[in-house]
Amino acid sequence: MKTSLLLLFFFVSAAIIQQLSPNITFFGNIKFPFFSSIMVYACFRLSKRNAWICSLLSAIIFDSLEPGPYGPALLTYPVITFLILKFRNNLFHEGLVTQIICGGMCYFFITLTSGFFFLITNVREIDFFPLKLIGSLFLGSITLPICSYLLSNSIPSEERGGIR
Amino acid sequence: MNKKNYRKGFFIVIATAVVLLGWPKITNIGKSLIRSVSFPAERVGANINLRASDAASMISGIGSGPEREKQLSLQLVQAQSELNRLRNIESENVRLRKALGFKKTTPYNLIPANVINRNISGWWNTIRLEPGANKKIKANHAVLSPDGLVGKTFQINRYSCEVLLLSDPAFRVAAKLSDYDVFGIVKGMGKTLTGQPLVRMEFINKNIKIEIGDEVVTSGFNHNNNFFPSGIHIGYIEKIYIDDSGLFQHAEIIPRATGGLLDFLFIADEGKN
Repeated sequence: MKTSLLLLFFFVSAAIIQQLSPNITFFGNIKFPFFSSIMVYACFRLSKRNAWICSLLSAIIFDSLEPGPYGPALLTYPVITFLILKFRNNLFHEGLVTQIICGGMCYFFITLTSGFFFLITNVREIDFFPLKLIGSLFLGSITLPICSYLLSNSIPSEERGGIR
Repeated sequence: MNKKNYRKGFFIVIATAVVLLGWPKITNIGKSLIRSVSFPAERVGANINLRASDAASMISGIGSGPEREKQLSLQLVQAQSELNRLRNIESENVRLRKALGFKKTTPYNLIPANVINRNISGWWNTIRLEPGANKKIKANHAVLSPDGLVGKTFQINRYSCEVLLLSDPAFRVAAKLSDYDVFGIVKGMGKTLTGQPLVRMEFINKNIKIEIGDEVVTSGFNHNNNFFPSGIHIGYIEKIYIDDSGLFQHAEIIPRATGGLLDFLFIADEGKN
């Protein structure tokens, strides 16, 4: 219960901070991915069941705050969760290098899928797409280590049968 | 969790995604619900941001306080004299219209609105304003700032509404040049890499001579449930081109109004003041 409330607080705070933060114009107007970084951080630490619940709920919250249709987060977050759950036992997720690579790759994947989603559904025109992809690699690799450092051990590690 | 449950969970996730993607009514209900629930937290966040910005500007402006007050006083006097002049013109206009038997033009209400948030992903050029369905805000109404047109309302939640900014590629409004009857469609073109909003006026008659620096305003031609009163300032023409087809001209516009987090905006509403 305590973990769920904490997670909810982190997600709401991350959503507000991400919305208030300005667009990074020279990376094609993308933003620092605080919200998805918290999702990735939680997926590394929670049990499989909780990680899935967290992933799905955070995707719904993210897409609800977007003006477009449900889709960009709802399609990408479960895939990211699936990959994290599959490989996390082989990764040292407290390590800085792992966080830099995972953060960059996750945000890159989110941006790539969102771009294709908008392109296929014709919801909107896409500008500076290659720049957005490069920017997402860079911003993702910065944000996940920062979020992990700030949250450090506030979410108990459940991934290897630890505290629940 | 065993493999069977794992697959079951994955299937449920995919099924939920498919249902939500394909059912617009559920999409709208879901979005409105989440935004209404998150509204108090967003409001607190916006207030903290406002206070922090105020404090920062106060600290940076301590030295230039008296100078700024002097400047504001001057602006106030200028604005008051301009207002008095416009009042005289308006009363004269009303008198002349009455004399000619014209119907009285219906003025529109302006509902004040606070900016509480921007878009979360950066893909859209949108902001979220504070009054929503609780203050009878409707979709597709013009949003203005003292500098001119900012955008239009398009998703109304209980306590907030989304505003599609003028620079968003999905934004369209019927426009004209303020000095002549030259009409066209103003369309958002996104932002440059320096963050400058790009706006273009399309479908301008190629036989009419337009010039750089001409003022572009809303024409007041509304379709469906749109509400854009005529004469709202959009911007000034910066560059003029001939369309690829050779049938029309189009012009790049520098918009004056921006919907920043610290701006105080107004939503146009039908009805008398």
